[in-house]
Amino acid sequence: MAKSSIFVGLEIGTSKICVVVGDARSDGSVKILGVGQAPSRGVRKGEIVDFETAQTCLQDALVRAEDRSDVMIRSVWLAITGPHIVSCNNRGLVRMPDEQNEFTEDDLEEVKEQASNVAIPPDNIFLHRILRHYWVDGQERGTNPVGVLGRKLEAEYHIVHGIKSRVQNTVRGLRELSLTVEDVVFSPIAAAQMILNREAREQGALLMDIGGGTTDYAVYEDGAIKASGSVGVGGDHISSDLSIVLKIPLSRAEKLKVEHGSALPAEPGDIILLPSDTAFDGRSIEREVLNEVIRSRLGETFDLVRKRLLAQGARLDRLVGGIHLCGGTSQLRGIDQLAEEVFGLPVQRSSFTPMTGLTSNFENPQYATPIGLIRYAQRMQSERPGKGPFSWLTEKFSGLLSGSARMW
Amino acid sequence: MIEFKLEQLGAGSGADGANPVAVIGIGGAGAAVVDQLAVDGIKGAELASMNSDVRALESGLAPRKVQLGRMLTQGLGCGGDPELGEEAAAATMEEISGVVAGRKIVFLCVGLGGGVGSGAGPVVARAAREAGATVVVFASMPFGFEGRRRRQQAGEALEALRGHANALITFESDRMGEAVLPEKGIAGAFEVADRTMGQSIRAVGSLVNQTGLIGIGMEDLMDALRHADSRCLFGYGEAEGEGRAGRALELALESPMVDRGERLREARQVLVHICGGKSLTLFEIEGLMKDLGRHVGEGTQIRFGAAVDGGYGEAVSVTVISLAGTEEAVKEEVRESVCEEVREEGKAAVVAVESVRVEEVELPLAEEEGAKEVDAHAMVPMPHSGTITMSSPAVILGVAQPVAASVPVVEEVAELEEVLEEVEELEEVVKEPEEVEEVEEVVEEVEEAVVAEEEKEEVRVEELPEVAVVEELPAVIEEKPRKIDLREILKRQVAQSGGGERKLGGGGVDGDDDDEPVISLRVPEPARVTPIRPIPAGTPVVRGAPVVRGDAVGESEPAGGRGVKGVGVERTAAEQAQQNFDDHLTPGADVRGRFDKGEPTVEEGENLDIPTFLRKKHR
Repeated sequence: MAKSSIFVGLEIGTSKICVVVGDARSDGSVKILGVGQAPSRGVRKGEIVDFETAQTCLQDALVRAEDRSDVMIRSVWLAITGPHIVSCNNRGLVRMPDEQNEFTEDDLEEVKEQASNVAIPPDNIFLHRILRHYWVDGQERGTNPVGVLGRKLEAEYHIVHGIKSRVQNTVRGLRELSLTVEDVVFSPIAAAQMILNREAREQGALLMDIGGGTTDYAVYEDGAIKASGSVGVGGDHISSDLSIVLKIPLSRAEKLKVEHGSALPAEPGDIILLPSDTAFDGRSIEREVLNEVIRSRLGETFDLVRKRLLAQGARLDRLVGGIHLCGGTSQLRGIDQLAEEVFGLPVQRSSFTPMTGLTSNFENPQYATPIGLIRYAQRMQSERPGKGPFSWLTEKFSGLLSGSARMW
Repeated sequence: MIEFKLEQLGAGSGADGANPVAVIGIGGAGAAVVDQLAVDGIKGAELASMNSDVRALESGLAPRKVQLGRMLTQGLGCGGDPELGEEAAAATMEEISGVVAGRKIVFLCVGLGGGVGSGAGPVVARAAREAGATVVVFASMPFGFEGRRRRQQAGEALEALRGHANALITFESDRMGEAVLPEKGIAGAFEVADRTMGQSIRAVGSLVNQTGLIGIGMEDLMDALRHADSRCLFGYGEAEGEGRAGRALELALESPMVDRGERLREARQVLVHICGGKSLTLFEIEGLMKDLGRHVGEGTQIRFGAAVDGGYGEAVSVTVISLAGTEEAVKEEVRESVCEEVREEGKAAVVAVESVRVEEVELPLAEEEGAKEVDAHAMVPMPHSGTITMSSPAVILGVAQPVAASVPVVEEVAELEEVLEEVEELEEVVKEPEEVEEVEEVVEEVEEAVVAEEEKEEVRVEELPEVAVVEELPAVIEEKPRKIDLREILKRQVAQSGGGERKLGGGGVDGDDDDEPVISLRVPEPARVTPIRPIPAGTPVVRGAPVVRGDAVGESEPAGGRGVKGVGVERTAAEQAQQNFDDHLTPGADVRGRFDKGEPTVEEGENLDIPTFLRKKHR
């Protein structure tokens, strides 16, 4: 049996809080031991605005996950998102002196340093600095270039950063529940661990996690992340739009969206009857309007993502792997066709890499992020042998919390 | 109080008819600041630059230029060597003296860390001082990335400057650079640094020169800057139109050095100077000070000045200068002022306190508090003219000291009680509530002391404090107004509007003033301006860039709010159909539904919280 270790992934989403306890095996599969879920309150657009309320929900989810998995949860891997999180790519360059033509460990360090130290606004904090590629004399090279002959060594990093205080607040809030945060992971990066397999990443693929409050995206090209970010628009906006335009209560709008909503244009004349209840007089809704509201909202959101991707230098025409949708809103009817229209790329709803355990229940795109966190945790640990499993991260976070150290 | 005769300040005062105010930039960085000032324009001051690098000098904009060490460096720079800079300046002493001769105030701007600034700066400062000028040095510390050596040189030069300057304001380039967006590049960072320094020079110049409603004088400035670590926070803002006072303050607080007002909280003293045209209202000043009160910490002393200058027109400017004094610096100063107080008052035979060796005693907490009391007292002018010079500091020191520190020990409790009696007498005499409070505190302390001493029977006294009550107050104290009453001052101002005092506005050096030959550069001893009201819970404190609120978007951006009912537009049939459709739905204008309360998501000028459907329909 493969060596295993247990990780807990926590996603505090706008619509639900989800805790997944998983056993990540070194063969790449994840065994789900238990899932705790609770509807989320006090969270808006992916960020906690009312911690006390959110804490109660979180407590619920945690207790459920503990019960089901029979694991005591002490530390979690936390997925965060929010429109404040932005990314960029930065390249470092080292030229060899004339008398030297072989790259050494020091050169590698220097180029990494150069590439990863990009100036970010003083209020921001680095979330991820992911090495994309090395180039030796302009030629791409995936592996470690130490010992390779050449004149010019370049490295490119994908850098994700967000507003420090917002990240810190969430981590601090979790600490109040005596939970240690092992690391914070930008949601789409976590989700991509689960949804985009190696092949898709090599070919180039776009992951869109359309959640309740945000639409997070990540683009992989040539096996490495190229662009990522978050737009502060999600499924909640659709419900809100419906509620405003159709003048129905929000809860009704939500129900209507789930039951009848579609992102495809509808034929005129089709009427949906909303039954009356104590607080609501019945109403008949034209399907055409309903769909148009949803369609215009989603279309706009996709268009925003598309513009941002182009601005970040992603080449959409080369994303052969297509678009992978996940997140609750990705279950909406017709959303794949709409995405295909906007991006001009084939769309797949998420398909999971192998899992064992209670998988069938969780092969739902809603769980991509928390499960992805477990995969991410596993990967991080395998990359850092030698040290104790969490020591480096604890260090990182004690610094983060005291606010004294930037994660350079 | 420093008083200058008008004719001294007037145009003809200098030895060779020179302007009494000079701004001298030394070295590359200093010259850059002067250039910036020349570009932005400065009234009532002559600009000069000094450098050893002749090419840099030539390209400068200052009307007066001095090449340092002509023979020494052959027209080249000093190559980051302060010693060379110093020699160069020494070799050009005559020319330097020529520039500083006859000046009343010399503003020196130097970039420390390099050769010329660090080396020649102190020499010029000394020369100016010797020529009888008040020297205010604006020094910028090198950026962190410039390396340790330069930082060390800068530190040494700073020490040297401190010896010569009347006031020293240092700027951390790093902090100024922080404010610049990372992508703006180094040129931008330097420009911001230069501009910040230039603004501060102009502001300091005008605030000491402009007399006005409530003036801040050179002495206030020097007093505020008089301590070991004069890292200065400087903010300047100017605005006109509606809500100008508030916006000017906001701008001032957004200045790089102030860090959106955050750093003001740590500040020990804040100097605020408000200047505006004739339309400046009391209401504005009051509101502005209230606003500022929210940004400063509890214990911060605010020195406040206001001036009316016709040149401002409808604009209002706010200058905030504050000092982020470290704890130690504060303590040191307190100790110093205590000693001074003791020396002065002691000589006046108020209380014999020679036995109190303040410097030697490791001051325990109680004494510290006492000492702070002294400081506070020293700031507030004596409220009653002509009753007592009994100064509470002396009492605290003479009496409270033994309790806390138990050195020196009092010999007889009876003696102490005598002191107590004296104090009680004083308490009766003093009727001013503030004063009474203070005296009461003193009395309490004395009483404590007595009790404590009674308990300890083996107490000994080496020397006993005497208390003497002096009948008359020195005249100086009499002329100080008790506190600043804005309304009264404004009334006075209105009554004598057109009076001579204000005519000094702007450069403050016009010699053609027909009346009032004496200009008081320093008006009343500033009392502590307390934050006028506490911040009500939940009041949002404006920080950083204003968040675009939903309603603002509705106003500024037509897509959100424009005619939902689509009135008065010529329509095609399709549009008419659409209109009917819309009317049938009758959606609200810029409703954001459940997102109404939160921060809006704005992208490309569109408020994404408003249904796309609605925005599209009315585009």
